[in-house]
This record gives sequence, structure tokens and C-alpha cells, in this order.
Amino acid sequence: MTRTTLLTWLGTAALVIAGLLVSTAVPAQGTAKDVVLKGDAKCTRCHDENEAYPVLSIGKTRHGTVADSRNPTCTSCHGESDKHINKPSDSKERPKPDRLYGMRPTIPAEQQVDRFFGFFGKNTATPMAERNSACIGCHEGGKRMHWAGSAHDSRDVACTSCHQIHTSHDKVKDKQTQPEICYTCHKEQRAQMNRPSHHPVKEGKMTCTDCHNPHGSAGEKLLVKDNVNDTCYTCHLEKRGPFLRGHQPVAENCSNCHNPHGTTNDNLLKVRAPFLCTQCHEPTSHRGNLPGVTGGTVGGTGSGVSIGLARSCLNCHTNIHGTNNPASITNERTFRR
Amino acid sequence: MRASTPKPARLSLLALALLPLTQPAFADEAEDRRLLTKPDSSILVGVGSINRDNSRFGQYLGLHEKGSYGLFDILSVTRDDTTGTWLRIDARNLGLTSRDIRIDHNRQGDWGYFIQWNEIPRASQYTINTRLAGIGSGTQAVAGEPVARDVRLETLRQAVLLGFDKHFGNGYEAQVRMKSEDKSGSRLFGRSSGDFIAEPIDSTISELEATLGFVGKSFQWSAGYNGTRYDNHVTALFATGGAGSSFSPIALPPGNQGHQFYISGAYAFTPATRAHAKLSWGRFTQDDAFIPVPTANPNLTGKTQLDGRIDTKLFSAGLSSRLLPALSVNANIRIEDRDDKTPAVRYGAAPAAGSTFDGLYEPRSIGTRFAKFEGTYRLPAGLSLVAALEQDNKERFVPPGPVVTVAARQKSEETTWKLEARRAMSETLNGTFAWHKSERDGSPLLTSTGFISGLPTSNLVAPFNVADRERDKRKMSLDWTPTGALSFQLVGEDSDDQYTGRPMGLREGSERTVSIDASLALAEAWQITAWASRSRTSGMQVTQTCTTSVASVCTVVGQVWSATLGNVGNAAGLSLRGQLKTGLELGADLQRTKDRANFDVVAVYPTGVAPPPTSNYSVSRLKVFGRTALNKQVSVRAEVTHERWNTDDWTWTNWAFADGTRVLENARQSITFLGVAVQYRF
Repeated sequence: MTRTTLLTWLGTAALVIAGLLVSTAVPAQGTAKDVVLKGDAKCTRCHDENEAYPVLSIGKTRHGTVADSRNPTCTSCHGESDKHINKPSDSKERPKPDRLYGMRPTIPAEQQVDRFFGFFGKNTATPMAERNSACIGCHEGGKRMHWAGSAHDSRDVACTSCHQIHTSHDKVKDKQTQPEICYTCHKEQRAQMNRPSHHPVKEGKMTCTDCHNPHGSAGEKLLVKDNVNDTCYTCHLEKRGPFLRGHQPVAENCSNCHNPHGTTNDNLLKVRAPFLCTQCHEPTSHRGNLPGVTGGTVGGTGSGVSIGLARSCLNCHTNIHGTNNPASITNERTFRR
Repeated sequence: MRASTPKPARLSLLALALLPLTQPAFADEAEDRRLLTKPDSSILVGVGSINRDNSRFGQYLGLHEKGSYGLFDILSVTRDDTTGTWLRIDARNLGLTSRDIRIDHNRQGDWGYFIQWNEIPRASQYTINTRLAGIGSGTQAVAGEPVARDVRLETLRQAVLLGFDKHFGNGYEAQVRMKSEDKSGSRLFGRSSGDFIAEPIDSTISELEATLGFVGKSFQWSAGYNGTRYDNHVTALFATGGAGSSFSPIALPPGNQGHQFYISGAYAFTPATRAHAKLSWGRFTQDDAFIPVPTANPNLTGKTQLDGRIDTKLFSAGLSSRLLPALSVNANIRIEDRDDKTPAVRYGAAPAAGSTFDGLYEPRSIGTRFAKFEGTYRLPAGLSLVAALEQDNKERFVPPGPVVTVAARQKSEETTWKLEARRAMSETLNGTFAWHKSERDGSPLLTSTGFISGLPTSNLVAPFNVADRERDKRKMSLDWTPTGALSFQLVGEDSDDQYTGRPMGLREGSERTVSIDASLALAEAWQITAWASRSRTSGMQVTQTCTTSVASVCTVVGQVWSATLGNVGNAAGLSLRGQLKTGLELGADLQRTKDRANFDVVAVYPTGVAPPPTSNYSVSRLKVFGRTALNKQVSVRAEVTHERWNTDDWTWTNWAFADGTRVLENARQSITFLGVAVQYRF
């Protein structure tokens, strides 16, 4: 066992033991008259876990924490719904609650496969703004500061389009399952994430929300930072520089050359070299030569394998993001040392 | 080869996890209600085995080597109902190098903190057969080993995150986040003349963010500081031997640091009219000591570091309002400046006549001015019409002298019109159609000229990120839920780009995506979903070979040639979930993806040089899993995953570095992963 391995395991054990110790210090839970929330009896008398619209699992969630006086009740979100509770005698069908949020109720959230559907089942008569206001009334500020007018807000995406309320396992908040929810609408990104070169999203090591804030942001494309590069620097800070010799498109926008959602080219390159490079660089000297899979000379610059195989232009121009090398020998600006 | 990667743990905490199995399970009604309404906790302990080494399936999971691994997850969630205090321990993949452990302790609406440990491994998809010595260090010797051996380059990110939250009860709240991430290992590199070398990676990213905010009924704000720091513990790579020994040392990324302050606010004038804004200021510096250089550079006298500095400013604001019950408007602006304040001094030697380079530091300043206005009108019958106008202007700093190495453009301006129709056609049918059209142009493309001669050099290409461009983009989607149990979704997108302004470079591009999804609840306990998508991208570009060039001007053109690069991706998935009987759940996921990359070069190839052929990539994966409950708290889970990966990518096939190094990929990978685990729920 290497020293790093030993340290890793000691750290792991310490974290787990510390957590379990603190766990035992938490006092025992109390009891409440209603099943979960104050006044929920008028709902839970019908809506238990055997009913078509089960609701009790809200008790597992932060909304079911009765000690938090800020928490809503059933009617805070769904309205008083008097006609739903007391079905008028002249009504054939029981009227729906005052506010509905649109969902497929028959399958508990934990057992659903994927929610591939734009707005998750049937439309509801409750206007989108009214649905969202029930959430925004409490969940304002912070990371939701820029929600109003954001891409999701202006396209009538409801909070409940992505979030499931009556479950302890809200898929969109779990890094293993979050992409399923985002792919509900973002099909192109789903296709790209399955390509050979991709960020470890499908492996569950990254999430869409590592880069995007679906609740709105001050930057472009709902990015968590103010621009593309600052978002990429969150993990790739070595690319920030500034470098003694910097590469203009690198400093301007990482997505000039990379597609962060996935490509068939190594390193998430949109197009492989030399084709990518000749989209900017003039065809003088060797730059217009023909890439090939045979012929030519390794280490050379003629047509053939030297610019067609391996890393192509990057075989020599390795420091393509920029270099801080102060040498002055020959052509230092070409990122070769 | 990466010496610092910890090996996966093998069932080391199995005994601890199995302890709860010895406790009796409750079966009364109160326990049923408790399980339904109180937070879930579980411990999962098991073993997984993978039958072959692989470089794709387990690339980011630490499952790329044949063998058995411990499967160990903990989810412990407790809540003190009298105080609303939560303790959540979520530990995943503890038996793998992709482990992730997070402990959250908080009192809802009052205080909270968390600590997290996260590891992300990455094993290169390539095996490298090389004689390079010193891999992983800053001193390497090309062909330094007497015999070539197989090496797999790996990297590992290990991050510690800490967070603290406090709600002060009167709307004020504070938040602190800290991260320290070490990245270690090696990655594929190389250098001029065809030598193979491996970039050593040993660096630390640190981040501290502290915010203070206020949440009121109609007004919210937050102000904060974000500090970032990058420390590279190996800033130079000295590589001896080989054909390119003059290219040593090679500079590795220098350390840098940044400080950013920001303030955001949102205000609701009325329930239907809201505004938000953000202001931020940042300073990013890079003052790492220069690496030693082998040949004296007279221009370096007195300079020991770059003294690099970038100052940034951002102002972003938005206003959205429902002016009428049927009319909403939305306006946004964003003004962003990135000023490169690094001293523009000369580093290069005196350039020769005709050079396109004068040796001066080239600032990379850029300013962005973005504005958007959007209106949504809601018509009867569930129809909404959206119209939007966007203007995205960029202004780049271009040195005042005559030298640019590729065409530059000081200003680019892009105008985009968007029209969109959305209709909720019935309770079960939604549809959208959108059309976006944009045009980009700007100030004249600056011509490249020789440094001393002042004469124009080659000026044939408009870089794709600044070139004149027309883009047409269309999107449509249809959601149909004919019954509560059956749903369909159809999405289509396509776009076309045309580039103009210079005769060469990228000329046109296109993208098409069609996707269909379906879901069927066969019964209350069974559901099936299926999806398929096809996407195609294409780009056509033109360039030329140059037989003779003088002072960066092509005086004798060999031939003008073009390349159409295409990518076609087909993917399909099928998933099944069901309950065979009470306590026995089954599921299966089948997925097939196939990508093809085309390189259609229209040129007369020299004798002996073959053009790049098509590359194909395909992945088939079948995952079957089941869970059987032994009682209400204990269940056994089993999973079998079979994956086949195939490619005929030619990137490395006929390539050998000048020192003889070969890069190999297992073009046909077929693995089976089998996992069995016991889960105890409490």
C-alpha cells in the first residue's frame, strides 16, 4: 500500500467515523398528530401510499421538516381545494385541486426509468406562472437571483418540470441521475455525451449543473460563471495564464475549439487537427499541406503522416494553449517549447 | 503509469457494513409509516468483478483493470424532528478510486456545514510502448530505457471541499465555500522533431468563495468574494536525447491567481415585473518565475517573470415584465471587459525582414456588449408567439503595429432574430417551432504584413471565430401524451452556416438532429422507455498547398484543395423497469451508439500519401439488474453489464514517434461487469 493510498483510506475512515459519531448525538425524533405536515389530515385521509396520488413521502424531504416553521403545508402549494375535498353533489367527477403541477403520478419517483418528456405528462390547467410562484415565493435570491427572464423561465419551464417534490430522491439533485432530467429537452447534448470523448457525466462524476445554473445566471448559456472561460477554469485553471505567448482564440473562448458536451475527437476538439488549425491559419509554408495516413516523414512538415496522424499540428506545437517560456531561439510564438 | 494513483480498496469495510444485518426487522404499522415518512438511510456492501482490462468502460470509474472491487456505499440521513437538524452522510464508490464522500450537517433555516472528499480518476484510452525514462517527473530522457515497455498514462483529481452556511433569521444569510483539488499523473505530450514525451501533472487548484446575502419579499441581494489559485509543482520539463533535444526545457503551465468581487441583486417592482443585475470586478495575475533558458536572451535582462495581469469588469442586468395578461417582455444587457494589463515589452530576438512577429507581448484584451429584447404574446387556444432580437458585439485589442500572424478583427457584430411559436394543443399535446437567423460581420479584417518590409503577407483566411457568418437555425418539438401511461416526444433541430469575407478557411457548416422518445407504463409496476436519435454535423473548408513561399507569402501555389468533414451519430436506448412480484424488482438498459467521422478531401494527393479514411466508433451496452427483498430492510441487488466498444480510428495506427514510441488502442473491447451487493435500509 502506497503512502497516498494509506492516507486516502485513513481520511475515508475518519470522515465516516466522524459522521457516524455525530449521527448518534442527534436527539430522537418527535411525533406529530398529522401524518407529516400540520393540517395534512384532510389530504392524507385519502392520499396515502396506496392511492393513485401518493403524498406521504414528502415527510422524507426538507419540505416535511415540521420544525421548520417556514415550510409550506399541502394547501400552501395546492390551494384550499374545497371542491376537490367536498365533491359537489351535482358533479360527476371530483374537481381537481386548485393548483396542479403536472406529473405522471402512478409510478413513484424512485422507480421511474427516465423522464424523457418535455413537460412530464399531461398539461395542467394551472398557469405556469402560478405554479412557479408557489416555489419562488420561498426560494428566491441566492442562485435563483437571475431566474426572471432566464431561458428556462421565458420558455415556461416549471420548477416541477425538473424537480420532484414528494420524494426524498429528487433525481435532478443527484449527480447520477441529473442528466436524465436535462436530456428531457436537450437531446443534442444527450447524443454528444455518448461520444468517445466526453466529460465524465454519464459516469456520474460530473453533472450538468457543475457548469450550468438552470435557475439563471448573469453569464451566457446559463453558465455558473460569468463566461465560458471562467467556467472552464473552475477545473482547468492551468489554461488561464496569462502566458508570455498566448493563443488568441484560447483566451477568447474555450468553445472556439472544444465542444464540452462531447465529440469523436480526442480532448473534446470540435474538429481534429490539422483541419481545425487551418480554419484560422494562412496556407503558407507547411500549413496547407495534405494530411495523410501514409507517406511523409515523422517529425517533418510535408504532406502525409507528419500532419495527418497522431496529434497532427500538435505533435510539435504542444503548448497550444500558451507558453510562459521566455526563450528566444526561433519562432517562439509557435508554442513549441 | 502513475505512481501516485491509489489502488482500489478491496472489501476493507465489509464487516462494518454487515453489522446491521444482524439486527431484527420491525414489521408493525408504525414501522411502515416511519419508512414512508422519515428520511431513508441505507448501507450497500458487495463485490464487483470485471473480466478484462479496458480503457473505455472504466476510464473515469477506476474500473479499467481486470479484477474484483469492493462495492460500498453509505447513505445515512437522520433528522431531529424537534429541531429540524439534519445529518446526511453520502458516501459512494468507496471501494473504487472514483470515491465520493460528503457529510452535511445543518439545522434547516439556521446553520449548516459540509465536508466532501471527491476523486475523479482518468485512465488514458491508449497504451504507450516507449523507452522514455522519467515519466511523471520534470526530467525525462527520450529513449532512456534500454527496452520499450507498455505504459498507461493516468491522472487523478482528489478534492476536498468545505462549506458553511448561516441564516441569520431576518433575511440575511452567509455562505462560505472552499475547495482544494490536487491533480497528479501524466498525459500524452510530445515535441518538435517527433519525440515522445509525457507531460507531468502535479498541481493544486484552490478556491475560496464567501457571500453575504439578503432575501426579502421583493428585494434580494448578495455580495461576495471569489478567490482562485493555481499552483503547478512542476513548471518545466527537461527532456534530454532524441531528435528534438534543442526543445528543452519546455515550459509547463505557470501558477496564477485571481480575486473577484461581485454584487448581485433582484427586485420585484410588482409581482409581474422583476429586475435583476450583477456587477463584478476581477484581477487575475500570473507572476511565476520564468523557467531557466539554455540560450541567453538579451531581451530578458532584468525580467524574471511576466508580471501578467488581467482586469475584468462585468455589468449584467435584466428586466422582465408581464405588461398585459397576454404580453410579456424581457430585456437583458451584458457588458463585459477583459483588460490585459500585462506590460507589452519585447521578449523575442530582433526579427528578420519579412517576419510576421516582432517579439512583443501581445495583449489579449476583449470586450463584449450583449443585448437582448424578447416579447411573448399569448393568443387564444394555447398559442404563444415569441419574438426576440439579440445583438452580440465583441471588440478585441489588436496591437497598433503592422504585424498580425493570422487575420485579426477588432470588432465583430452579430445580430440574431428569433421567432418561436408554442402551442399547448390540448391537455395531452404540446408543440414548439423556433427559427433563429443571425448575421455576423464587423470591422475590416486586418491584413498581415511583414514586420520590417511592411508588405502584405498571406491574407486568404478569415478565422472562423471572427469571419462573416450567416446562420439559419430551426428547432421543433412535439410532446404527446395520449394516455396517462403512454408518451411520445419528437425533437428536431437543424442549422446552416455560411462563411464569407476571405476565399479560404471554413466556408460552410451544418447540423441536424432528430430524436424520438417514447414511454409506456405497461402496468402500475412495469414501464418501458425507448429513444433514438440521429445527429449529423458537417463543415467544408478550403486551403492550398504552397510550393514556394517567401517572407510568409506563398509565391507558387501547388493546388487549392477542400475538405468536407462530417460526423454522423446514431444512438438508441431501451429501458425496462418492473416488479415481478412484491419484493422482486427487475430492470434492463440496452444502449447502442454508433458514430462515424468522414474526411472527404478533394485534392490530388502525392504518390505514396493516402488521404484520411472514415473512422467509426460504436458502443453496445446491456445492463441487467435486479433486487430482491429479504425483508423490509434487507435486499440483495445484482447487476450484470456487458459492453462492447469498437473503433477503426486511424489516428495512431500507422504512427511511430521518431524515438520508436508507439501509441496503441485496443480497438475491440468487450467487457463484462458482475456485481452483487447487500443493501440494508434503515
